[in-house]
Amino acid sequence: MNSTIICIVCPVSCPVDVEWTQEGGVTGIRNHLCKLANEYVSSELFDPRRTVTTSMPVDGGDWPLVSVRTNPPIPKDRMLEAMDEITGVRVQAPIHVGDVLIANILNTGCDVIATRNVKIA
Amino acid sequence: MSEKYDVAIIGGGVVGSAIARELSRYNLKVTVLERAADVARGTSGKNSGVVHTGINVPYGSVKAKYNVAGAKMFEQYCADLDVPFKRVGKVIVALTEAEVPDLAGLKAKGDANGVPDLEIIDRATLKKMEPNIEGAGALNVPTAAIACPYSLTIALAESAAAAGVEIKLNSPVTSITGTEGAFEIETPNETVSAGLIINSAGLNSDKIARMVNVHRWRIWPCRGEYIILDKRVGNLINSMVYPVPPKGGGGLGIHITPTTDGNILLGPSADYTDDGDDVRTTAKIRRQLLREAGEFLPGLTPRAVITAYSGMRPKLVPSKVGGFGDFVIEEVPEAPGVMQLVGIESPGLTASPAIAEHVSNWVRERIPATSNSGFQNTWSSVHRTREKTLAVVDNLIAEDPSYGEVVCRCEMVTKAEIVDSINNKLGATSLNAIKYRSRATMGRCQGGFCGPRIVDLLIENGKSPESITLNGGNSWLFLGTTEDLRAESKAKRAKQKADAEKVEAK
Amino acid sequence: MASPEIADVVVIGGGPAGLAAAAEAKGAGADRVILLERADRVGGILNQQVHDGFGTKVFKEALTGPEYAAIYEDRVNERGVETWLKTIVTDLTADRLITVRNEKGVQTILAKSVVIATGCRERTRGAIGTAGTRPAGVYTAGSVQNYMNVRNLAVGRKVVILGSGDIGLIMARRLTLEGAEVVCVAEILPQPSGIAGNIVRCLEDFGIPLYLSTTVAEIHGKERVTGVTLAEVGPKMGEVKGSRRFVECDTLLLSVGLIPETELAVGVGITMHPATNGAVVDDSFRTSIPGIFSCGNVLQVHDVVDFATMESEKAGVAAATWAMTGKLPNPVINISAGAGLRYVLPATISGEDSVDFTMRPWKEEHDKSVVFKSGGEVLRRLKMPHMEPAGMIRVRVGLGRFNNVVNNEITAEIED
Repeated sequence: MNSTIICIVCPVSCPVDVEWTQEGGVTGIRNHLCKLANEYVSSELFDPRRTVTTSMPVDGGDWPLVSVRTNPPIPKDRMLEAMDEITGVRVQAPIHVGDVLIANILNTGCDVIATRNVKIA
Repeated sequence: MSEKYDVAIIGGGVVGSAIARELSRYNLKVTVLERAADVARGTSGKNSGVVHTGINVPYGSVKAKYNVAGAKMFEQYCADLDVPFKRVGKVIVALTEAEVPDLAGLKAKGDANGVPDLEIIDRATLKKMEPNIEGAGALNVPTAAIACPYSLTIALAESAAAAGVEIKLNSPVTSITGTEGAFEIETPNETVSAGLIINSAGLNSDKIARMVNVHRWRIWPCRGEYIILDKRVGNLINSMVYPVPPKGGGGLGIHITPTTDGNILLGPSADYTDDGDDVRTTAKIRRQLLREAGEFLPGLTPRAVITAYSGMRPKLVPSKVGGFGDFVIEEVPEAPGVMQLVGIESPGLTASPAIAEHVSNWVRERIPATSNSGFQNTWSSVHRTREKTLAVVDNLIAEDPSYGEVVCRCEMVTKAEIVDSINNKLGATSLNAIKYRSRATMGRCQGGFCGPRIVDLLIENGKSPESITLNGGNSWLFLGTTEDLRAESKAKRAKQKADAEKVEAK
Repeated sequence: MASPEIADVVVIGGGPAGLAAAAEAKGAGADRVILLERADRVGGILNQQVHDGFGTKVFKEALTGPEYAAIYEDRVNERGVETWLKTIVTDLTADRLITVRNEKGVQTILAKSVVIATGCRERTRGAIGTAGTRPAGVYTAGSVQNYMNVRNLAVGRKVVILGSGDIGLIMARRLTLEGAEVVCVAEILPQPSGIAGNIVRCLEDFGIPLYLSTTVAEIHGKERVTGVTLAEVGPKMGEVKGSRRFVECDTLLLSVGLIPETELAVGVGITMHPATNGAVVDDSFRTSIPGIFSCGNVLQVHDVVDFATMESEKAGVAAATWAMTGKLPNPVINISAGAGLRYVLPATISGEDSVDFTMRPWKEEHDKSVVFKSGGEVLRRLKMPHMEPAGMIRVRVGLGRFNNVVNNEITAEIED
C-alpha cells in the first residue's frame, strides 16, 4: 500500500510518501529530510504514539507548576486517560529535568518525567 | 438603616467627580453612586480629550457659558491634579477650496464667544504648521488644548475620596423616593439617604430624572467609534486636525487628535443607538475612519492601528431632528432639591470645572458649610515615571526598587505604578482600573506581555484568580487554576464512563 | 548614576536567540559578555512552551521548550556569561551605549558589539480590527499559553481559536488536554498558517474542526464573551454574503501572527527589511550600523527554534570577532529574492564562507527547486518536495559556489 504521512517529529512536517504492507511493514519511504521520519512513519502505521505534555502542581517551588512529558510516547488513544491519571497528583520541590514523577503510567511502560527544573522557593 | 448624606451625586463621570471634588472642600457628607466598577467608565472615559475653546458652540447658549468658563480654568485644574494637559492648538481644515468660505463663519462664532487669537490661514501656512496634512486652508485655534479625560476623572474622584467623599462603585440607582432634605436612594447594595441629589448620570440622566418624576428629557445615545494609532506615528501631526463641521449634523466630524501620551485618535463616528451600553466597534466604521482621516493625512497606514473602541454621547436631540442640543443645568420645579445635569455631551469635559463650581454654589446656598481641613488642593494619583528624567528615575529606584521593574514595556510602566494603581483610593481593582490609572496594557502589545505580570501583582495584593475581572461584574478572566479545570473534565469523563457502564449493565 | 560599564558583547534578550548568541560570543573568546533579560529568568517564550518538538535539528531528539531552554541556560552559565535579569533596555545609541533599568537603578553599558535578540510579540485584536463588543475573554494565544502553563490559570471552558498559527494550534491541543472544549479553529486564509504537523497532532488527533477561508466577523458579550459570529471570506478577503453563523463560546483565542519587536532597532536607525519587518543583515548578521547585530525572531520570525539557535550562534561568534578584532569579512555580494520567494536573508554576503540562506515562498509549491543564480548561471539548485509559506526554507550554499558570481549579484528564486 502507499500512504502519505505527515511526519510530526519536528516542525518541518515532511509529507512522507510510504510504501508498506501489513505483514512486511515499511518497504519504501521518500520525501523526508531526515532519518527521524523512518521510525515515525512505521510507528504511525502500526502503533501510533504521542508524547503527552502537560504540567503538575508543585508545592514549595519557585514555579507553581512543573512541566512534564510522557517518556517514551504513549499510545495515541490513551492521551486523555493519561491526563486523568496525572490530574490530582502534586509534587514537591526541588525537581530536576528528567526526574520520574509518575512511573509506568497506565501500565504502558512509559514514565511521566519533569521537563523543567524547579528550585525550592 | 440607611446611611445619611447631605449630598448624593449620581454618576461618577467627569462632571460627577468634579462636583464631588468641589464639594469636598467643605464639611459636607457627600457620596457618589457609580453603577460601574470604576469611575470614568462611560462617556468621560472615551472621548477625544479635547479642551475646547468655545468655537463650536452658539453664543449665549448654556454650552457656551460653561465651555468658555471651564476652558479658562482647565490648565490650572490639570496642574493641581497632576493630569496630563497640552496646549497643542487646533486647525480646522477646509479640505477643498469650496469649504474655505465656511471658515469665516466659524471664526465669527469663536470671536463672539471671546476665543482669542483665531486666524484664517492659507494652504502654505497650513503646510508649514502641519507638513503631513492636506488642505486648502484652515482656521487656526492656537488656544485649544488636550487633556487626558479618564486620568482627570480618576484624579478628581480619588482626591475627593481622600478628602472624605464616599465613592460607592458598583452602585446603580434603582429607585428614588422622598423629597428635598430626605431623599431615599436605592441601589442593589443599600439604601442611601440624602438631602440633595445631583443627577450627573450622563447616558442615564433621563432615567434618574424620571425617578424623581421629571419627564422632560430623553437621552438619545449616539455611539462614536475611535481608532487609536501607535506612538510610532505620533509625530504625523502637531496639533488637532478637525474638518469643517458637517452641515446639519450634531457632531464636529471625524477629527485627528493627538493624545497627551503621544498617540493619535481618529474619530469619532456618530451612530444613534437604542442601547447606551452598546459600545461595539464595526468593520464599516473602521474603514470609514481610515478613509476619511486619510483624506487629510495621506501618510496614514492601517498598520499603525493599535485598537478601536467606542464612546457614547448622551444627546438630547434625536437623530431625525439633528442639530444643536444645549446642556441642561438646572433645578426644575417638579423636583426641588435635585440638580439636573442632562445632555452633558461635548464640550462636557471642558465645561466640567465650571459646572462643578456652579453646582457647589447651589449646594452651599441650601446647606451652608465650613471649610474641610482635610481637603488638599493638589493631588497625584500614580507617578508617571515615563515622563521623568533618568536621574529622577534612578533616585526613585533607590527609594523603592519596584520602580526598577518595568512591567509594561510598551508604555514603560513600573511595578511601583501598578501596585499604586491596585491600591487606589476608590478600591477599584479590575484590570481596566489598573489600565486607566497606570497606562499598562494601553500600548502596542495590548497587554500580551504585561497582562500575566499584572495578574501576579493582583494575586500578591490579595485577589483570588476567580475574582479578577476586566471591568467588574461578570467580566471574569479566570475560571480558577488549570488544575481546577482539569479536575472538572476528569470528573465529567468519569461520569460518562459510569453512565455508559450502567447502560451496558442494563 | 554611575559611569558606564564596559563590555565586549552585550546581547539584548535572553530567549533562545539571545542565549545562543551569548554562549557562542563567550565561547569565541569575547572577554566580557553581558546578557540582558527583562523577565526574572532566561528562556523567553520557551518557558511556557511545554509541548515537545524542539531540538530535532540541533540535538536529533524532540525536547520540550523548558528542556531546550535549560540546556542553553546551563551553557551560558558554564561559559561565564554575565546574566542581568529583570533588566530592561530603555535606550540604545549608534555608538553602542545601552541604557538599562533594573531594581538597582538606571545604568549604562558601553559595548563593542551589541546583539539585538528581542524576539517578537503577538498581533492583537485591535491590530486586525475584529469588530464587536469588548468583553473579557479575548486573549492572544501566547498569553493563554503563559497563564495556563506557567501561572496555573485557566481562562475558559469553551474556546474558539482565530488563526491557525502554530501557537494557536498548539493551544488547541493544550486546552483540550487541560479540560476545555475547543469548538473550532477559524483561518481567514485558504490554507493553514501553521505547519502541517501541528494540524495533524493538535487538531486531527482530537477531532477539532479547522474552517479555512473563515474569520470572526464579530465578538459578542458585554461582560464576558458569549459567542462569536463566524463568516466565510471570498478570494479577495471580502465577506461571503449569507455565510454568517453564531458560535457560542466563552473565550476567543487569537493566533494571528507575530510582529518582530524592532523598537530598539528602529530607534537607533537600523535599515529595516520591508518583507521581514526585521533588520537588513549580512552573513555575519551585521545590521546597517557597525557593531550592532541582530538574530532570532526579531530578525525574521522562525517556525523552528533550532534554526533560530543556529543563526544566533553565528551572530554571537561574529559579534565576538568584531569586538575583539574590529574586523569581519566585507559583504560585497548582494542577494535578492526572485520569482516565488517573499524574501531571502542575508541580504548581502562576503563570499568568503559558506552561507545558510533562509527564505519563505509566497505560496505552497510541490516538487520545485530553490535556485541560486548569478549572471544567468546556476550556482546551486536544491530540489524541494514541498514548500509552504508557513515553513521557513533553509539552504546552505557552499563556499566554492561563490567563485562564479558575476557583478556581485545573486538571485534566489523558485523554479520547476
